[in-house]
Formats: sequence, C-alpha cells, structure tokens
Amino acid sequence: MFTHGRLARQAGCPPARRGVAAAELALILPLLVLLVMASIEACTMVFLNHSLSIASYEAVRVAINFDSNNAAVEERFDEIIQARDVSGALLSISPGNVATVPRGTQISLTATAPCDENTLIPPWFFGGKTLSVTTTMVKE
Amino acid sequence: MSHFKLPNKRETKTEDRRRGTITILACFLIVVFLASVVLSVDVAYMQLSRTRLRSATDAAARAAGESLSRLQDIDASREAAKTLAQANLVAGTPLVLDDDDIVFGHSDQQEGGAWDFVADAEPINAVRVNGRRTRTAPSGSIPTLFGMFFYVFDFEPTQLATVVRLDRDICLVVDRSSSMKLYLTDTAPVMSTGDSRFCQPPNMSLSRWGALSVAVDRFTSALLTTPQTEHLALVSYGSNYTSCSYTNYAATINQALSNDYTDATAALQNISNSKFNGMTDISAGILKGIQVLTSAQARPYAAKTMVLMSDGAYTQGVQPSTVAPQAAAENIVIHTITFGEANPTEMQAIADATGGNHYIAPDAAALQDIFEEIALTLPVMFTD
Repeated sequence: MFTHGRLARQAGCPPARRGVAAAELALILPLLVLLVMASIEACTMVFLNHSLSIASYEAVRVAINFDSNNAAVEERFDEIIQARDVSGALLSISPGNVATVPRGTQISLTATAPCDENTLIPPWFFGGKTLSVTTTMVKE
Repeated sequence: MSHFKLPNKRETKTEDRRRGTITILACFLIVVFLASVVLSVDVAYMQLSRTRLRSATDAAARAAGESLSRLQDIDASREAAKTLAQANLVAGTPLVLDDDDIVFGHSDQQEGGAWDFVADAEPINAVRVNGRRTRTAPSGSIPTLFGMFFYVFDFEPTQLATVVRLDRDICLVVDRSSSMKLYLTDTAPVMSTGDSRFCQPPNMSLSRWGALSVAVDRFTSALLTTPQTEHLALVSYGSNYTSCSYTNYAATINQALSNDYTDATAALQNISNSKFNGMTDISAGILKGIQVLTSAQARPYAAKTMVLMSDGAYTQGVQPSTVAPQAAAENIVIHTITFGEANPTEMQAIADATGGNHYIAPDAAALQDIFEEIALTLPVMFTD
C-alpha cells in the first residue's frame, strides 16, 4: 500500500486522487489488520490447547505407572507446562489419589488454563474463557 | 502497478477506472491474507488433532495390553481398547475404533533394539491399535476450520500404537542333589554317604542350598519391584533315591504356578527342612519344568521362562541339552545358572538351544546377583 502511494506521487497524481487512495486504504486496512490479529489469536489458542494436550498426556503416562503417586504426576505436568511457557495452568486428577487406584481403572487428567493470561494480544473471541483438555488412560 | 506507467495523454480516460485500484489490490490482498490465515490456523489445528489422536491411540493400545495381561482374553482386551479410545476426544469427538483397527500379534526385539510386530503371529504378546480419522473410519475425517474457503473440507490423520506386554510365567528349576548340602568352602564335588551331614537337612548358613535359598528370596523380592505380573513355580530335581528314611524323586513339582511368590518360597523352605539326597538328573528337571509351564495354570499370553540352576554335572538321566529343544518348541526360554562345579558347556548348550542366557556363579554373592538380574531382565511394556 505504501509502495503504491509512493508510486502515485512519482506519477504526478493530483492531490485529490491521492486522497481517494488514502480513503480506500483507510477502509481496507482495518479489515486486513483484524484478519491478521484474529489469525494470531486463533493460532495462539491452538498452541495453548496443544500445550495442555501434551502436558495432560505426559502426566497421565506417569499416573498409570503401577508405583506412581500424585506428586510425580504434578511434577511431570509442571515440567511440560513450564517448558511450553503456559501461565495459570491447573491440573485436576480423577480419581483423587493415583497411588490407590486399582489396576485396570481409568485415570482422567484434566488440564485447564485461562485464555486471558496466555495471549500475545488482548483476546477478542476467547476473552474470559478457559481452555480445558482431558486425557484418560488405564492404570497398569 | 502497470496503470501508473501509462502515458499522460490517456490519463483522463482511465481516471475513473483508476479510482478503484486500491480496492482491487486490497481484494487481491485479502484473498492472499485469507489464504495465509487459513494455512496457519488449519495447519496448527491439524497438528493439534494429530497429537490428540496419538494420545487416544496410545491410551487404547495400553489399555488393550493391560487388559490382555490381566484377563488373558482377546475379546476383553479389544473392548478395553474401544472403551479407552472413546474416552479421549479427537477434534472434539470420541475416537471410535472398528474391530479391525485392533490387531493382536507377536513382537520380537531385533538386534538393533527395535521391536518388530507381526500381526496374528503366535505366541500373542502384543497389540497394535490403528487410530484413524479417515473418511471411511467410524468417526469420519476431521473437518478443517477455514479450509472450506479453498475447497479443502477435511483431513485424514492416522496413528499406529503398538504395545508389547511381557508378563512372565517363571518356573525355577533347582538342584537338590546331595552336593547342595556341601558347604560353600568345600572343594569336594560330591558328598559321600559317610559324611556326617548326609542324613541332615542342609545347613542354611553354610551350605550351597542355604546360598540358593537366599538367592531365591532376592529373586522374589526383585519380581515384586517389576511392573509386569509374574507367576512363579518351583521344581526341584535330584534322582529316585531313598535314604535316611526319606524318599527323593528325580524331579518334583514343589509349587505350581502361582501369583503369590510366597508359595514358592514356602515350598523351598519345605525342601530346606528335609533330609534330601540324590544324584543330579538335570533333564528330568527340565521336563518337569516344561510340564509346569504348559499346564492349565500357565497363562496363554504370558512369556514362559525357566530358570535352571545346577551345582554339578548331570550324573543321571539323558544328556540335558538333548531335551532342551522340547522346551524351545513350547516357546520356553531357559536361563541357566552354573553354580560352582557344574559343567558350564552343557548349561551353555541348554541356554543356546532355547534363546536364554547362561550365567556362571563362582560364589554365593554372584548367585544372588544373577537371580536378581534374571528377575529384572525383561522390559515391561513398550509403545511405539
């Protein structure tokens, strides 16, 4: 767009037409900016969802070990969450104590994180929302 | 851009048209921008969906492996895989598996350490789950988020997960010939009938038998630390011989396969309390071990392992390595332990014939370490 403006001046356009170009630009530019911002927000949210998926999967892999305990599960979860730079992530373990879960029983781990704390730009579609991912495996 | 290079004399004619140039350019750019948005968001979404599909497929395969081990039933294992696949969402919907997506077979470790899965091969020790979101799959393909603007309506990720379950049925085959009552410090290969210890139970702190007893305790303790489920049996061998008012048999099943390891240690204790005597009929011990590992108590989907221990060369029965192929035919692996004087060549041949390892224990400490090592040898469960 700026290239166009410069070329227009070089071509010796009258001032009135330069104004037309500027007006058209003014109409179009916000649309393009919004498109870029929305795309950034969507990608950030997909990334956040991906982080929660990986963290809950890695944590549940620890939880299903026959000699696991909640501390080890949370430690693994925090490790991934920190590596992926997620803020305010929480883990809920069901049933509550993985050490006493009998073999063959399902263990579900739910990872949640607030969208507001994990965006590059102020959220537009995801403002105030919380992303949550659950991964379920069987105790071994 | 070429509009601006037009000669000035045509400028008035094109003036009206040129007013829309930014709009035209912007329309073109919007299409380009939209394409980049679609590409970035949908590619990220595809990666996310693949990750979720991998989680669901892994969960299904591991559940199938766990169930196969616990229930020893293929149908129950298949159901467990289906249930767990559905418990995990892929792109917002549960992953539904077909029966054909769950394949049972045999996995073997290759020389490089990688595992090779062969579908439907016996003995069954592995499950492969084919997690797919293709158009023909029960849960269908995954719709794109914005791809429809460019006539890309869906994508079809697939993931494979294979789980190898290495539960073991283990039969300990131990030597209870007279020489086992010799002290660890003795150098004579056999015990004479005139020895004062001949008509006594073994001395538990000084004899070879005592060392074996400690080693078996170490063995069962190590089994308790492994994640897989072992069942343990005890066979002892000597020879058909009656002395000191005690009747010995060539080979005895002292404990059938049991998931309670104290059964085997209690059976071993019973031998410790007896005035056992006899020659060394290793082949009879091996045959008894095969009988135990192919009995009704043996689990159909567990790996069969025999741990054969001897302190002397065979002095009764046929050459032991000639019966080893019978064990190999039943997929039984024999790990052999040579304690003290035994004939290492013969023990090596037995191990080689069945794909097992041969260990030489020069002293009691080495014997205990070897028993522990065998208990911890096999990896548990493996996903690829």
